Amino acid sequence: MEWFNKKRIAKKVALFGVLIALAFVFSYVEAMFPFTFLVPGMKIGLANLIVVITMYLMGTGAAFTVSIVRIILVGFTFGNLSTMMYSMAGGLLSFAVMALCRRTSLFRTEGVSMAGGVAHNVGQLMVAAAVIESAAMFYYVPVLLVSGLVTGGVIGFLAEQVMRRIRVYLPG
Amino acid sequence: MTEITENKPKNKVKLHREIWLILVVLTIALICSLVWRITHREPAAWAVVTVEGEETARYPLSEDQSQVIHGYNGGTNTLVIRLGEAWITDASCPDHICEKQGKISRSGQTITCLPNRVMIEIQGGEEQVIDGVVQ
Repeated sequence: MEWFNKKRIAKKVALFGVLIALAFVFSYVEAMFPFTFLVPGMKIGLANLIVVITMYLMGTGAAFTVSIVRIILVGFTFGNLSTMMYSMAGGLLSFAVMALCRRTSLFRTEGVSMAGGVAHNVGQLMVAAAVIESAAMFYYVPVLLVSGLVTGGVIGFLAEQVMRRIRVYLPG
Repeated sequence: MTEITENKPKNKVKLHREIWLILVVLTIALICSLVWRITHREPAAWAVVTVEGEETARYPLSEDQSQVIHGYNGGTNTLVIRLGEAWITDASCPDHICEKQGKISRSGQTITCLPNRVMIEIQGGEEQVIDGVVQ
């Protein structure tokens, strides 16, 4: 039994490693080639794909770990404390909303991800408004709401497609 | 096969909820932009014309128009305002530098014609300053 548990833990550690590495690499790719379309500053949030998939396959706690570790790693590697603050605010709010949406099974993956995308942008905007101390930021609200919806939808769709294909290979 | 048929109506019911989410977010976005537009009307911008240092006319940038400015010693410049930008299309002076100065639209920008002693300056409206950069 002891040996069995150890094996399970090892599997879990390995899986976490893979997921965090993936999220990390997606962040890196996005930092290298900003997929800016429609609106300046708009990002598709590829790393969130991993968070969504983790949330569905391994549960809320695991997704939280992946999300936070990813933000801290990326913040220290490619950003600074300021960019980390934005990611953290967006990531936490987005995570809270997604966990809530999933817990209440209000939406499917796409809907959960959309709500998360919108929440992410709202979180970042709140930090931006606090930093710049100007209500002028809220001029950007409509743009960010819609872009969060679009990117969240894309990520949700991708997550659903990926999960359908990899579910078979994952340890119970 | 049975799984697909069982899933279909379930999916349809839940799709409606996502449409509500989209509608709610879009509505909020629309309301936000409307509120912004109502509360933050762009300050009126004017093209102020001065001849020999004295203001002779001011035209709102919000109205498309074309005006002939009578400058020093019978010289004339044609000022065109279209889509919130002002520029000079025609000048009686020999060098036509004012025509080459391009379109101006932001507070503080100027077009000058030295031979006719005409200066056009934008007053009011959007400043040229960036108030912040966010990464």
